[in-house]
Formats: sequence, structure tokens, C-alpha cells
Amino acid sequence: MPHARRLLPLTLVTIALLAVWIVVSVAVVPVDQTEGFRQKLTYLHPAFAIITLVAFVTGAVFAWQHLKHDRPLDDLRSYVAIHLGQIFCVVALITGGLWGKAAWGVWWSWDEPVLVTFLIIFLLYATYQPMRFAIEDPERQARTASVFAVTAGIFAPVCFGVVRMTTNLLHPQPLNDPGSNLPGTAGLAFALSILALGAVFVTLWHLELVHKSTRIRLRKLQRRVEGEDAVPVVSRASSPVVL
Amino acid sequence: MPVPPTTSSDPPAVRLVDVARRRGERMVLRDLTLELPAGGTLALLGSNGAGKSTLLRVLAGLMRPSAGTCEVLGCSLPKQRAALRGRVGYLAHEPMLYRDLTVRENLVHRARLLRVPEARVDALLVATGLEKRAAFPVHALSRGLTQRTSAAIALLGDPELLLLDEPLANLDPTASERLDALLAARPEPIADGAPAVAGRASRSRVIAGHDPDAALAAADLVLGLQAGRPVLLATPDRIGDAEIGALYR
Amino acid sequence: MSAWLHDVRTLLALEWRRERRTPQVLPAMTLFSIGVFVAFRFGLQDGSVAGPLAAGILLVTTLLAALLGIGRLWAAEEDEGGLDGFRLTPVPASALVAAKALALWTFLVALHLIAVPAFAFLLLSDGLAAGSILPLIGAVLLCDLGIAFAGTLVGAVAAAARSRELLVPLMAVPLLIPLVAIASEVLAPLLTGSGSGASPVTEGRWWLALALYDGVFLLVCWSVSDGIVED
Repeated sequence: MPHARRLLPLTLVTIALLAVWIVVSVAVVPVDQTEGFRQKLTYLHPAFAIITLVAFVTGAVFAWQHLKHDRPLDDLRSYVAIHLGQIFCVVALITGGLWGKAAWGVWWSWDEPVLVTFLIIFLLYATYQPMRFAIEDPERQARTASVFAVTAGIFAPVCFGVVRMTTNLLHPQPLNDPGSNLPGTAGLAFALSILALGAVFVTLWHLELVHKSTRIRLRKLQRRVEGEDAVPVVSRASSPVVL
Repeated sequence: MPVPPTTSSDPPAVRLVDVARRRGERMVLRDLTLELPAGGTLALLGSNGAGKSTLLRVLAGLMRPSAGTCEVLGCSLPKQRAALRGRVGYLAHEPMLYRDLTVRENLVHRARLLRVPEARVDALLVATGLEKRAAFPVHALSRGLTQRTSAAIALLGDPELLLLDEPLANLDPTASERLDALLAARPEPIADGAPAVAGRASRSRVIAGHDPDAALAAADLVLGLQAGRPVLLATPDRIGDAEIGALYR
Repeated sequence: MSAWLHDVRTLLALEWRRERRTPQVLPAMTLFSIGVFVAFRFGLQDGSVAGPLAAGILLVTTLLAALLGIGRLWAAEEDEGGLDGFRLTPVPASALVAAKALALWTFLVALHLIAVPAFAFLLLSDGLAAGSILPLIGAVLLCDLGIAFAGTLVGAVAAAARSRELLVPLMAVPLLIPLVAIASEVLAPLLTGSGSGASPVTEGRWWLALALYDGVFLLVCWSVSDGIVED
């Protein structure tokens, strides 16, 4: 299983990147003059936001592959990517609130396009699992889920664009504002946050993929030994996937 | 337009090599290998849940095979599915009809999608004995009349292959006889003088049912399924009561 | 191409014939809209609105009413075997998806033929300026087109699921929020009433944004139409 072989090196790289990131952002980068320690939260929220989008777009790409080639593995990859994306999305929303509170004293602001977009995207992707598990036929479930994932993946940037367009921008947008280049080590910490979280995402993705396909294999063996009816049907889409 | 009779150079109606169909993690069909020549009739036997309806759906191009080589009317499934569309008539267990539309409206709609002239709709309504109920909405029909409507739709496109899932269920003897004649491999004019519906001289058929005697009488080849596996594949002359009994045990 | 258009027309005619035979969707959406207007009047404690507030009420009401239409759009194909029957014909999946989207669009436009005058009559403080009628029609047509495309996708996805009545609103609302945002910018100047003197004008970029939103969802519908219909 090539995915399984990658797990150990991936985990090591992730731990290393996380360690470097924490060290750099806490100890090496000087505390900002105006915003103080809370400026270090800058490295958390946007990174989570970016990786969330990466996860959802990855889910959309694999879903598209699934629609094209009908390989069950692509559906599983898409599912796992979206699943992780949902978790990162929630964390992005929470860290966004924390950052807002630290920087401007409010937990929520409608003038934050990233926050608002992510709330909408969160609401959309929250229907993914209920939709999946309400479709009984596994192949139909996989295909319908792929249609949803492609739609939602294209929708995410559209949504961001529209929200941005209709928002009165009061607050500095460190991601988009050309004026506020993060200087020196701060920029390094920011880049590291994205790398580290990206590594976390990739590792967790591999981990969940291997975990699920191992269980599928186990059920297949069980079925072979104990008979077709010995294993109850699993509600989640599960076509036999061999990695 | 006269249709030339099938010759031995026609591709087999159905050609399966190790075809399997999975549903999630379970196999619902497996190890299916058979060849039905053009113009032949294949009878599918097996208890409920054996996989007969699933096989019919695969042959209709509605479900893709999970493994193996599957060729219907010379079209490789699922890749050449589009080329098969319109050439197969499928009479399923559930009627594929719009319940708030009339019999005629359902037929006309499907005829338009199949690019078939409306005159054929009228001919089929007469042939199936539905001309008096043509203006009835489908939800007001009995099960037997619904079945006849579904049969009329299956015959609309003058299909080269007919896939029939218990076609004579729910029918009274007259209707049963009439439909049996219409769905025959070589359709003939019906005895009571109703004109035969114009079409090809012969067609291939796959019929799933629970009546072994009728199946043996009508078929050129018999396939018996048990839990998705083929346990019997032979011509009718080689099948006796013992084999049939074993199938339903 | 003409065969494709012919197929779309046949399928669209089927939608309208079924609706004429058993009128359900249109009367429901219309009555629902009027009911929601009344609810807004009391919820906002204001029976006379204009500008962005008016745009918001009209759009949210449209959104909610559209949910009724979206839920029913693919129901017959799913429950009465229409999808299987369709797939036995040589008609391509894109024709069915196009016909469904057009059907939903025409239902929504028909809804607005009654709902917009009703809204102007019941809630709009200064009525409609003469100069805004034409842009308003354009805005409604474009807005309904966006809802139709997104709604066709949502309806198809939800139709496959057991809990479709719950899924349709949950999926459709987030997808249509950007549409509401853009359409509100388009409509607000048009609903400021005849008292302001000058002819109300919407900024060009909002029209463009609305057209782009429609275009994106048209593309998505097109690209996944096989995935929706085929097995």
C-alpha cells in the first residue's frame, strides 16, 4: 500500500515543521510594536483558512476524477479531503474569532470577508455527510457526493469573491492588502504556518485513507471467511478499495 | 419499412465474460459468462434476491458492470452505453411512467424522445388493447393495465433486444395471451384480427420469471442464478426437474 | 444541435404539462410568497419599505419560495422511475438537465409575474418608478436564472437522498447567499421609489457580477450533468 509506506516519513516531516514553526513564531519573531503578542495569531487563522480551501479544492479535484473514471479510490480520497476540510474550517472560524477579539475587541464582524465566507462554506459543507448517508445505494452515493463536491469546490472561491465585493472593508487584510507586507521573520513565520499546517493536512489525509481502506479490507476478508451475510452493510459509501 | 431478418453475421445479442456487479462492498452478481445469439431467448430463473433484476438492469445499460466484459448488441458496456440507447426495450418490475399523465401522453412523450412517429403510438395502443383507456391517467389504472402500458413503451422503439422482468405478472388470461404474442421473439398478428405492430421480423429477448415451465417452453438458453452466481446454464432440453428444484432450494 | 433543442423542448413541455395537470408548485410558491410578505410586515413592524430593505425582503421571499420548487423538480424522476425511462432513450443527459433548469426558471418567472406586483402593492413605500420597470424585469430574469441553475443542482443531489425535504433548504441557502448579495445591490436602487426624482441606476459591475454568477452555475450544471443523470 503506497499510501501506508508514506505515513512514517510524512509524520516525521510534519512534526519537524510544526516544531520549527512554533519556535520561530513564539521565540524568534519579535513581538509587534502596535498589536503586541496577539499579532502572532496572524499566523494561525489565515493558515487554517488557506488549508481549508486547499482541502475543499482537493476534494473537488478527486470528485471530478471520480466522475470521469469511476474509481472508488477517488471517491474515498475526496471524502477524506472534505472531511478534514470541515475540521479545518471550524478551527479557522474559531481562530478568526479569537484574532478578531484580540485585534479589534469583537468576536465576530460582518466586515471580515474571510470569516463571513467561511461561515457560508461551513454551512454548505455541513450538509455533506447528511446527504451522503441518506443515499442507500453506495455507487449512487459516491456519484452524488462527487457532484456536490465539485459544485461546492467551485462555489468556494466564487463566494469569497462576492462577499469581498459586497463588504465594506474596515480592517486590515493581511492576506490581500498589498500595503502591509509582513517584514522579515514575521513573513517567515507566516510561510511556515502554511507549510506546517499543509503538512498536517497531508499526513492526516494519508492516515485516514489508510485507516479506512484497512477496515474495508478487513471486512472483505471477514466476508470471505465467514460468508457474505456475516458482515453488516456499512452506511457510509464503501466500495472495495485496494490501495 | 421492411427489416431484414437477422443473419448469422449479426453480433450476439448478449455476450458476457466473467461479468460481476458489486453493490458497495458486496458482490451481487459474479462469474457470469454466456453468449446469446442474435434472435435468441434467454430465460433467467432464480429465487427472489438472486440477482435477476440486477442482471437485467446491467444489460439495459442502466447499471454498469463492475468487472468483466459485457457486450450487448455488439456494444461494449459501459463505454459504448450511448450507442445502445433506444435499441433495447426494458419492461421492469416498477413501471417507469408519470402517474399524473395519461397513457397516451406517456407513450407520446417517450416516442418523441426515441424519435418514433406518433402513428406507432396509436398502433401500439390498439395492439395492447389500451385504446379505450388511452385518456386515463396512469394513477387510475389497475396493475394489469399499468403493466400493459409499460409493455407498450418497451415496444415503442421496435427494439432489437427485449428485457422482460416478469412480463405476465398481474395479467388476466386474455391480456396475458395478447401480451405474450406481442412480446414474442417473432411477433405475429393477433388472432382476434387486431393488426400486428410493424417492426423487425425477430428480436432477442431476456426474460426473468418464476415459472420454470413457461421459461423452458419459450427459451433457447436458460440461466439459473443463486445469490448472484450462475448455478445453471444450459439449453432447455438438458434441464430436468432435478436441476430446477436445486435452483430454488 | 437542433435534435438537442428538440429534446429539451420535449422535456420542458413535459414539465409544464405535468404542472398544468396537477397544479402544485406554482400555486404553492405564489401563496407562500404572499404569506411571507405579510409575515415580514409584522416581523419588521413596517408596512412600507424601500431601497435595500425592500430588496432584501423580495429576495429572501423568492429564495424561500424557490425551495418549494427545487424540492419538487426531480421528484417524479426519482419516485416514478422517470430517470430510468429517460436513460433508455438516446437523449443526452445535458438535455434533461437543461430542461429542468429551464422549467425551474420559467416557474420562478411566472411566480414573479404575480409576486413582484403584489410586493409593490403591499409593501413598497413609493411604488415603482417608471424608469425602473425595465431594469427590474432584467434583474428578476437574471436572478431567477441563477436560482434555476443552482436549484437544479441541489434538487438533483437531494432527490437521491431519503431526507430530501431537509437537504434542499440546507444546501440551497448557502449556495444562493452570494446571489442574494449581488441581486440586492442590483435591486436596491430600483426599488427606491418614484419620489426621488432622478431615474435610479444600478452600478454596472453588479449586473456583470449577476451574469457571472449565472454563468458559473451554468458551467457547473453542464459539466456534472452526466454525473447527475447517469449511473
